[in-house]
Amino acid sequence: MAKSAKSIAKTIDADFEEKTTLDTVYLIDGSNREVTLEIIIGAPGQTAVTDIILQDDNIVKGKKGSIKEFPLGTNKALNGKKIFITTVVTDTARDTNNTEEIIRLRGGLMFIEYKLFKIVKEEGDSAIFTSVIEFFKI
Amino acid sequence: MKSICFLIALVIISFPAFSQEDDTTKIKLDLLRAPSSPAANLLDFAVSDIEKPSDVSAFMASLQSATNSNSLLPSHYAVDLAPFWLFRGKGLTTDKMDSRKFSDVFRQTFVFSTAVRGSDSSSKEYDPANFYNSFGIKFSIKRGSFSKRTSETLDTITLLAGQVASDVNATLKATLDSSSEYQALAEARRNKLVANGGNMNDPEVVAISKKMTNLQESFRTKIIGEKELLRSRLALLKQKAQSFKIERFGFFIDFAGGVTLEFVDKLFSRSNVHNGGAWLTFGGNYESGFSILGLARYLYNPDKIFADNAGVIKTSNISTLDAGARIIYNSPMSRFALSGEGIYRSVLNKQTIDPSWRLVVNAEYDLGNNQRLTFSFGRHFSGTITKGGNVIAALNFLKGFGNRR
Repeated sequence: MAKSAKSIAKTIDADFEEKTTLDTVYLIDGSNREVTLEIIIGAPGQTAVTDIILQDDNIVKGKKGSIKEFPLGTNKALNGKKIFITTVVTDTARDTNNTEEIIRLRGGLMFIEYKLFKIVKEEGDSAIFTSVIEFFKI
Repeated sequence: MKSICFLIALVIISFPAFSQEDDTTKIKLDLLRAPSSPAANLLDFAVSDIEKPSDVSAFMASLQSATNSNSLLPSHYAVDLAPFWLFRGKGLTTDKMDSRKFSDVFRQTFVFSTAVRGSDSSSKEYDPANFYNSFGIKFSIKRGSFSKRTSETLDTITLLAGQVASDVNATLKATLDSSSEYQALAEARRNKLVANGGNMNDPEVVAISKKMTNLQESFRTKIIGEKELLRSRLALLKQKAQSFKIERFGFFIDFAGGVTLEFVDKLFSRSNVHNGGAWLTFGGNYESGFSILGLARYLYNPDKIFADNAGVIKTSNISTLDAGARIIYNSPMSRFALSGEGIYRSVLNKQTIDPSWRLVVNAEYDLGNNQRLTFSFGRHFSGTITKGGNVIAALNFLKGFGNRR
């Protein structure tokens, strides 16, 4: 069935809705397969630093820019644990005030991508993105 | 009195030198610089006529307009496409922009350009019966590094942002771990997932996650609002980010090249090369005030042959090679400036015109109070080449009017 103009407009609005917080569950199984995390920062020309705590371990401290895919642990080991991700994206790009963080998780029941986005008000402002993801085996 | 005599002497000295000047001194090394868009340059498009879409939708809109909503072949259209930027270069933060790895430099600087020119009865250069399409590429092989000031500002921004991220993350974790409301919601979400077999799209699970997100956000806002140190770091961070500017110093190599195909009678099966060119630019500029620039240009069937001022040669199947170099020393701390410039020009496949070259060295000393002592010394392209070189010399004293600075 064709989508109405109103529902298309709503979808577009949702895509551009500012979102700086994430609280979700990443479903895993009991296998020994590694779960990996990747973080991509936008827009081009912005400056970002990320801090990550996995349960009680500060596994990433002061990491600059985007973070290449890296292992967090096996499905089995991660069950019941939480990951806390805080990224500060500072607007240093002169052609845009858009700031964006894409979090990708692989290795669990399915690949998943979360998008956080904010347009900062003034040149030089920072957006603080915080995410809490719980690894959970049903 | 002494200074007046000195001034008169300088003026007299400079007269014979002026009489030796000819038109070739007006030829600037910058003529050899690579064009901003090789394809558009080969088809004589003005820079203002070149489309430079910054995202895919802008490109589609530009293409649609040029093709009359995809119904016509464009007849006058030039576009520059930077694929990395067109697709918004995800993941390209400032730390990657200082990368010296060839793969990073290449993908961040690569530009593909194309231009088309159809029937144009007003132009003598282009046959209205034919169709012209040019293609070009441009990229950096090596680029300069961030200046000391840029690096220092970026380091401060990174340090402050890192302190903020670490502080917010640790405090938020402690707050959420100790919040009974948040823990109860987390427990309810887990129970619901067990009950529904892991359906994350279950409206109840979605609703609980939304509540947890809102709670997390309100805790975060409170943490930032209550912590004086965090607020002052964010204020300083903003101040540093506003003053951030990318400046590059060091050695660079840029390449640009392009070719134009002429489709005879607008038939795609009958084409020949109309013109082409390749440009290599290299050099370096350093914070000490020293800079060096080298340019080499190969052109096939150029509009105007650089080595042939008089227009003796007909521009068909002509290849030319021109090169130039410039060295400048102009320290911000010194009153003395020195520059040297050399240009070589040649026609590769015709013996009518001999290769020629020009070399000029300029020295300048700032005496202060709008007064400057300049000295230039060099050799021209002109007929003097056959005489074994022609030396020009000029010593000029410039006195400015107005307030003393």
